[in-house]
This record gives sequence, C-alpha cells and structure tokens, in this order.
Amino acid sequence: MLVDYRKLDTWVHRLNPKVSMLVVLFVIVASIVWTNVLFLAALTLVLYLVGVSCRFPWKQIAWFLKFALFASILILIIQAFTIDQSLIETEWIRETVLFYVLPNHKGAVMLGGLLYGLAASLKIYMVVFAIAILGYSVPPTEFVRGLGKLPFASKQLTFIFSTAWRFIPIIRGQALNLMNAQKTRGMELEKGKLGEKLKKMMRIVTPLLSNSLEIGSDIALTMEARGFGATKKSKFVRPGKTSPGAIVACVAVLLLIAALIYTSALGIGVM
Amino acid sequence: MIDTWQVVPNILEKFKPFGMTAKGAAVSYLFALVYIVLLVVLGLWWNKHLPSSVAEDGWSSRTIARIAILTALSAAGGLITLPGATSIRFDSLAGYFGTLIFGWQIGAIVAAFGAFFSELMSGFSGWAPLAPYYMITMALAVTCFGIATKKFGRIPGIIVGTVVNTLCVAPWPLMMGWAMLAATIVQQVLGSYANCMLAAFAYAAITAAQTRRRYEEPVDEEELRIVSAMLEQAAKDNPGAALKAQFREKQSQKSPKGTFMLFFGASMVLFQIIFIFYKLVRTKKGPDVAFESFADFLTFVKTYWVGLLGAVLAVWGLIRRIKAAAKAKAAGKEA
Amino acid sequence: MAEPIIKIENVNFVYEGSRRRAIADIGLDVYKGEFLVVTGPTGAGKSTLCQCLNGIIPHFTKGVMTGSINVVGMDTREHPVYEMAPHIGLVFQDADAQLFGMTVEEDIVFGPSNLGYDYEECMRRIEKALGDLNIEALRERKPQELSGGQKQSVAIGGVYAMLPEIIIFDEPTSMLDPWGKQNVFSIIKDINKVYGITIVLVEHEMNHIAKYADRVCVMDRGKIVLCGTTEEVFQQTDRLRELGMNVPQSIEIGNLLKRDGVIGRVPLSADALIAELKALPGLPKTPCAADDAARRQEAEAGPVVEAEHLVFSYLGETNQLDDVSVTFRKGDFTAVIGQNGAGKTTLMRSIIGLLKPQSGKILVCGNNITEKTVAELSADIGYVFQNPDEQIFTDSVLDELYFGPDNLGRDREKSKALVNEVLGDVGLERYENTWPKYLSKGERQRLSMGAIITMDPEVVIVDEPTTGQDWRETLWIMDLLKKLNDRGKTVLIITHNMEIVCRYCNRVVVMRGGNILLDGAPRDVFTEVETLKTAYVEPTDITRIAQALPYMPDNILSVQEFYDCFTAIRKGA
Repeated sequence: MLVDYRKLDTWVHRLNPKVSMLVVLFVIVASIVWTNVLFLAALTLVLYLVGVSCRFPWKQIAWFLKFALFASILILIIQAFTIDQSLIETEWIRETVLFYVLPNHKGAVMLGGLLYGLAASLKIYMVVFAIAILGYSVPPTEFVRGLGKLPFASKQLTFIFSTAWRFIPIIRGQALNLMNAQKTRGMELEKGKLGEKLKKMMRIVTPLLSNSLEIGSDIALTMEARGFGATKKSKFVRPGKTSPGAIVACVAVLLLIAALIYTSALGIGVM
Repeated sequence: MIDTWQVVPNILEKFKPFGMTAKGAAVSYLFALVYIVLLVVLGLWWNKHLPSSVAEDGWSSRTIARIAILTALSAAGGLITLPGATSIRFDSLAGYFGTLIFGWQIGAIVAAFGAFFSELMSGFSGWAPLAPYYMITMALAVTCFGIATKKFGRIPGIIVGTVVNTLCVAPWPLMMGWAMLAATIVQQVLGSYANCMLAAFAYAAITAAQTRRRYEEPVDEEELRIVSAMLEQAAKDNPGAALKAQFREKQSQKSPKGTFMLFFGASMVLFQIIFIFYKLVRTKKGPDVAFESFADFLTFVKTYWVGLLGAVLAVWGLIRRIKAAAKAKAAGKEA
Repeated sequence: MAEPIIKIENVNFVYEGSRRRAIADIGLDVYKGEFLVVTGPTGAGKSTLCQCLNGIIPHFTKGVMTGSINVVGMDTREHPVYEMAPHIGLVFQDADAQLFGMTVEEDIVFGPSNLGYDYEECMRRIEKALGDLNIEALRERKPQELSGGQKQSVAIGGVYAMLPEIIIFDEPTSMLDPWGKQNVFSIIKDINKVYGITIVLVEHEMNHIAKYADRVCVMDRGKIVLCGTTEEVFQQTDRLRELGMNVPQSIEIGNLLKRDGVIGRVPLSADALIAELKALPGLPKTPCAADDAARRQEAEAGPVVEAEHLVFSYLGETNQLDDVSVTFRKGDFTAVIGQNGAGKTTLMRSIIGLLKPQSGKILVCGNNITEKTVAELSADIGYVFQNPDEQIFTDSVLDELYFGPDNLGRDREKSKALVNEVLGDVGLERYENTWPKYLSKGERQRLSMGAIITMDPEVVIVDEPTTGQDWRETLWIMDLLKKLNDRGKTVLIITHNMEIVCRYCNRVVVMRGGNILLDGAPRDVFTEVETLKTAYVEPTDITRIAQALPYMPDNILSVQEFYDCFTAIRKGA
C-alpha cells in the first residue's frame, strides 16, 4: 500500500472493513461513470477531508503526488489540444475556445479538453486517495481473511497473498543492500548511459533472483515441516460477526452505488 | 448472426454517456477475455512441448513457495527503480524470470499477482478498475516471452515480451486519445524492454553458473562402492514412487483438452445468454423455440448457433474429463 | 529400559547427483524427555540428519536413503511429512523464512490450521504457545518489526503450537546476537525441562547450552564420532580441536584443573566453576597477566580515519550517533562492540559514506569524505557486509575477486598478482571457477572479504565477520584479517564474540546509545565491569571467572593465561 496501516482510534478506523471496502467501490464506480469536473472535484475534496479527519499522513505520499501532478499536467495539455468534441454533451463547454497558441487561429486550446483532462486526473487522484485511506485504516490481515472467505479462494491462494505481502520488505531490503554493496565495490550505479546502467543492474538482479529462489526453498521446507498439505480446506475460520449497523451501512452503500449508476445513465454527473 | 456481431458495438455504445473512460475500461475487459483464451491455448501448447516444474512437482509446497516469493519479488521490484531513470521499475522481471525457470503456470501466476501487488504498492496509480486487465495482460506477456525465448532464443523473446507487455497501455488511447499513447509509449516500451532483457540474461547467467560445479574431494573406492550399491538398490525399490504416482494420477485426471473445451464452450454459452438477455431488454421479446417446420428449426439454429455450439463443446469437454479421471483411477488401482 | 522415542538404525543418505554419503551408518536412540545436542563442523551432516528425522528426507529432498528411522512408532519412509508434523517439529536457522503470517498470531496458527483443527482448538493452541513461551506481548506485532531473537521465538511458537512430542532445532541461534541467543536458549530449556518435550538441538556454541544437555553427539563427515554426556565428550579437548570445534572456556579450564587434581568434576557452566574455585583457599593477587604495551606501540601510528562530532538520526528518531568523535590509526585492529542499536553499524556506514550524518566531519586518509562518492571512497576504505549473499555479484570466485579492481579501473594484469595471492589467502584456489552459490557460508564470507582485499584499501571494515560460522571458519576468517593487519592495513570489526576480540584485537571501542563509552586495549576495557554492564556487554567466560575470584587478577583474557596465573599462585601458596 502507499501508506502502511496504523492503529488509531478515529471514526474511519472504527468502521467495519466491509463498509470501508464498499465505500472504495463506490469511489471506483464514480470514477468510471462520472465525467463532470465539479462532481469529481467534490468527491476528491470529501476524500481529502476524510483523510484529514483520520490523521492520514499526506506527507508520506508527497512523492506520489509529485509524480501524479506531472502526469496530470501532461494529460491536461494533451486533452486540451486533442479532445474528441463529441464526447462532451454540454454545448457551451464543447464549443468554447480558451485561446490559440499559433497565429491565424491555429492550435486551439479547448475548454472542454481542459476540463476533460482535469476530470481524468481527478479520477485517478480520488481512487488513489480512497485506496490509500483504506490501507491506512484497515489492517492488512482483514484483507487476507476476507480473501480466504471467498468461495473460489483456496488455502494456497491465501497463503501466496499473505506470504508475498510479508516478504516484500525483506526482498526490498536485500535489493537495497545489494546496491549499497555494489557502491562499496567501486561501482557507480548512477553514472553511464541507459545500456550501461542496465548492465550494472544485472549484477544486482542476478544475485537477487538466486537469493529469492533460496528463500523460496527454505519457505517450502518450513511449509512441509508445519504440515502444509495435510488438509485441503482449513477449518480455522474466525467467527465474523457483522453488527446490524454495519449491515445497514453496507446495504446503504450498495444502494448508493446502484443509484450512482442509474443517475449517471440519466446524465447526472456527465459533462 | 448479424445481430450477434452487432452486440459488442451496441454494448459499447451504451457506455458512451459514461465517457471514454468507461468505454475504454469496457473494451479492455473484452480484450482481457480474448487474452485469457490465448493464454490457455499457449499454455496447453507449452504443456505439450516444453518442460515445467508444475508438471514435475505438481501444486506442491515447493511450487506454492516459489510463486509466493517471486510475487514478493515482483511487488518489491515495483519499488526499485533504475538509478537515474526513475520511470523504469522492475515489477515484471520476476514474472518473466519465473516463466523461463519454472514454466508458464508459475510465470503467469507470478506476473498476474505481481502486477496486482505492484499496482497496490503504487496506490493503483494506473487506475484501479484496470488492474484485472493489467494482470491478465502480464500473464499473457510472460507466456509469449517464455515460448519465444525457449523456441527461438533470447533476442526474439525480448522483442515478443516487450511488444506484448506494451499492450498494457491499450486502454489509455481508448480513454484519453491517441496523443496520450504517444506521450507514454516510449516509457512503457523502455520499461518492458528493461524487464525482459534483465530476466532473459539473468536466467542465462544463473543456468550457466549452475554448471560451474563445486570441486569435490576425491572419493575413496570403498565409499564409491557403497554409494553405487545404494543407488542400484534404490532403482529397484523406490519407496517414494507411491507418493509420486499419486501426484501423476492427480495431474492426468484433469485432461487438459477436455478442460479447454469445457471452458471455451461454457464461454460461448454465456455469451449467447447475454445476447438473449440484451435482446429481451431491447425488444421485450424472448427467443422463439416453437418449431412449426424444419425451416423454423434451421432459423433457430442459425440465430443461436454460438450458444448451441458452445453447449456441444462444453458437454464434450466434460465427457472427456470424466473419462480421463476414470481411466487414471483404474490405472492407479492396478498399480 | 524405556523404548526410545526416536530410533535411528543404520541410516545412510546420498543427495541426488552426489557421489558421497552426506550421513553414513548413523545409529542413535533418543529417549522421551531427553535433551540431545548434536554438534560438529560445517558439512558434518547435522542438518541432513535433522531433515531425516521428520521425513523431509526422503519425501521432499531428492536423494537415496537407506536404513530406517522410527519416530513415535512411525517409519519416516512410509509417512509423508504432514503426517509426521503433529509428532515432530523442526525449527530452522533462518527465522525470516519461517514466518508466514502477517501478525505473530497468524503465524503461530499456521501449523494447527494445516493439521485441520477448528477455530476453538487453534485458539487454545495459540494461547498455550504464546503463554508457555512468554511471547504474549508480541501477539499483534508484524514479523518484520521483531528482532532476530523475537522472530526465532515466534518460529518456535509456530512449531510448539502443533504440540509435538519432539522438536528439532537446526542451529536456531547462529544468526542471532548474544541477547537473541540467550532468549532462544531459555525458551528451549523451558520447553524441555518444564514441558517435557524431547529436544534435538544442533548447535555450535556450547557455552550456554552445555549445562542443560543430557547427551552430546559430535558428527564429522557424516558419521557420529563422539557420543556421551557433556562431561564425557568435552573431556576430549584435543579430539574436539582436531575436529575444528571450540570448547567452552569454562569447560576447557575445568579439564585442565581436573587433570591437575584441583577439582574432582568438571562443572558445565562458568558459574558452577566459580563456585568451586571460590571455595579454594584465598591467595594474594599476583599481576602475572602480560602487558600488551608492545601491541599498543605498534598501533601508535598516524590517523587513517578521523570522525569528529558526528550526529546522525533516522527521520526524527533518537540520535543513532550522538556527537561521536573517534580516530582510528594505521595498523589498528579494533573491535567495535555494544548492544544492538548502540550505533556501531551507523558509525561504520557513516565512515564509508553510505549514511550522511546531519553534522560532523569525517576524514579518510586525510580527505573529507563529502568530496567523494561511496564508489570513489572504496579505493581507500573497504566494507564487508554481514550477509555474504548480499555482496556476491558474479558467477565465479575468480570473477568476484576481480570485480572490485575492475570497477576501480585497474589493469587486470596488474591486479593479477594480488588476486592470486588473495585467492590463496582465502583458501579458495580449488574453487576459482565455481559458482559462489555452491560454496559454504564460511567460504562465501571469505570470498566477500577477499573481494574487498583485492581492492587494496588502507582500511577494511567488517560487519560481524563470524556470525553463523563454526569455530574452524571463525579462526580462518580472523587469521585472514590478522594477516591483513600484519601487512599494515587498519582493520575494524563489529562483533559480539568477545573471545575473538581478546584473541586478535589490540583495541576495543564500546558504544552505547550512540556514544562511545570506552576506548582502549582489551585488557583495560574488560576490567571496567560496571561500565560494561551498562552497555550490556559481557566479557568472555574466562575473564568473568577470573574477575569473580578474589585471588586472580581481573584482566585475564585467555584460558592459557588463567591456567598459568592460577598455577603460579598455587605454587606460590
């Protein structure tokens, strides 16, 4: 996740994980069906305020926001010049030219294009915010437990997910150590052209891959030693009691999603 | 039949009010279905012509552990960038490598899960609804890469892997226009190339290095004699054979051809059902199954040939699976 | 006589592709409730034996096994590993690879859930494991947040939760610091003495565990060469030395004193020996310990690394380095010691430029390091990391030794002489074309050190050179560093092994909480008992024994010194 889970006592953290996940689904569906900048901006602002209220560490995703800002500017510029006008239903937005960049009324920058590009950027921001807040407020074990309860999810699938998640920081640490060790052997990783850099990366990738295979062997040995394969389906199922309030909230969000799809088909939230 | 071909454009037309993003996402999912079929076809070909560790070990703890650790590597790779070229990440490297070293099943699963984790680590910056599309595209990319590398060599493999991987950006021109593709394609191609190239060369390096065996102290005659006797006896009476036979039995019960036919046929039936439902909603008219003459029956078959053919394939595939399972069981009992 | 719980009869095993038996003619009975220690040099076949006991060999590992192993009445050849798992558990060396769960609780439940127990039974077992092993506080923690000792404790908990009658431990403490080792040994002792579980422990370090073992078996080249009680086995000091094993200092001196008739039985722990020797008649102090002024003089050369007023902290946390100033001189062989988190690694990584202190100055060979990149600094100062697998980049031993000089732009022909010399020094001449992955851990550690030495830096820093190594490898590695030091290079090591500090180093720097607490010759530093306690540093057993005896000087560093001094005092008396 962009931001690791932190155990806090905020209203967002106290929400039932199922409700939180459904709210994220609502945001994802909204990002698909809405194209109106105002609607998207409003939802993004709401998500930001939710993040503030649950003490979300916005500084930790500053790197992402910088990258996203660059991507947004690129999208805005491209859409401003190249938007397909038939996509915009509102006539005055569709027809308005903001300015021309070339003489003789050439290189028109369209308002519709700018707004469309802004809408596209906001779609990405709001989904990222929603999922980041979800990861910050719901312990990762809940996701894996939820995965285990799905009808098609086998014991192996749940094991793969939880083990992969567990080993990500270890593998990353190994890669960083390999890079540091390379530096102490006189190798300047930052210098050289792309081809040279890739050649240097080979020296990191090859030991990283062979070390990972060794770790995989050790994991397999431990799995065997802990009885993996003794039974097909685990009987260890944590009793999941969902409170009546949470059930009502889940139903309400589902109805909101249905309403969202229906109203957007009627043109609400569409530019 | 003409109506059937119109369904796809008609469905896509319905997404137009939701904007290009919805339309792009819908098209991507349709592509993904095609990729899945391609993946299954290529996978079956691989099973027949190339080795894989799943064929040898089955879905054992060794296989599961390999998938888990390579998926972790894929996810961690998404956080590792080429120094000085931060747009190039090594998230798909593990999938490509896994395909070469362990076969298409492990490689495809690692590529798919790795793509998911990589998106997760970056906060779904590639837009969450497209995550399943990326997963399936990556699974296809690594399989194509593996086949091309094993059959034709590293360079063709790298080219194929890079090209197929670039399909990941396919939804973006649909959603944002072709100019958007032009702005992102170079970075995508470079990233794909870097991952394919490193995986191919790392695989070659590791397999070549494995031949550099450790120097062994000379073994005395007595020890050699004892070891030879042990190996001879083991060849006659292998206590592990029964367990291995159980694995082989489980594998052969699956009947890959039957599975493919069942899956493909079921997809066709599902597609037909969606079409019937769509027509029902549009025209308020259900399928006409009252045959007054042979001509009516022929018209019925002509209209719903997709579903009917699918049903035949599915049943045939199911019969094949049942027959294969019975055969394996009988062989197991004999053993 | 009770039936053995493990019965091993004439077992041999050959790995696939090998022409030599990894274990040969093994016959051994283990009884219920017994604490059996299996020891021996690297490659003796200890791990192979462990994997035979729970069925991993032959079901999972490819090879040919003959003979039979019966565990709680089950033949391991006829039962797959998951059927053996409820009766016999196995804890491996690498704690990280044994932890799967996203929390400690999730990890501990892995075994019982695999065995098909329902929720209530699984929770009962989790509670039992957390309670019996005293790790309840770790319940909701993520495995990656735990220390090495805590991780291994959780791994033990995961096996314990399956409630087996037997638990095998395959070098569970080799990668841990002394505090982690103590923690794990304490758990293992309790599992056996309090809860009655049969233990088979593979271990090199006998200091902490000798007093608990009922029996010790020594393996070499696949065979059991010695077997008996701890006292019986460790009496054969010369034989053990031949096998490349280290005898605990307290037992070694106990053997010598027993030979001289001073004591009747050899106590199995330092505390027991102290009690015995304290009972002997008191004698005046006799300063017969050698003065290492000569060693100190050699070290009084010009500075080669100067660190002044260094301050470093990670992202708003407390200072890892808190105004640290230290000078290392040419020819120093310095050990930097201290508890985990004291700032040892942070100091060393700052010196090589991997970490940038918030303030302070570092000069290496007279140059300010801020003017150079880490790669440029590597020509003057080499760093060997703790894990050799994170610093081996090529596919042959020879290429690895050339890697550093090639990066520094040195001509291969000119480097050839040094590379060949180092190849001999590290003892890997026969393996020059071997893939480093096929070397043993000790050989890989020597290779990574050799790879730094071929760069010919003035200063070599080694982070925990002997962790996870057997005694033979430990001595080889340290002798290699001594050779380097004799050639005039400055050697700095981070270590927790006080025995090698006393044996090899001419200077000790003790750190605590980001500060330098003590700095001097080993003989001076290890007499500051109270100060060392605050840094959680314990001197060697022999020093501790001498310090506890009123008639012995408190700056004894070796068994031979103790014996000579003690004999002189007795004669004088």
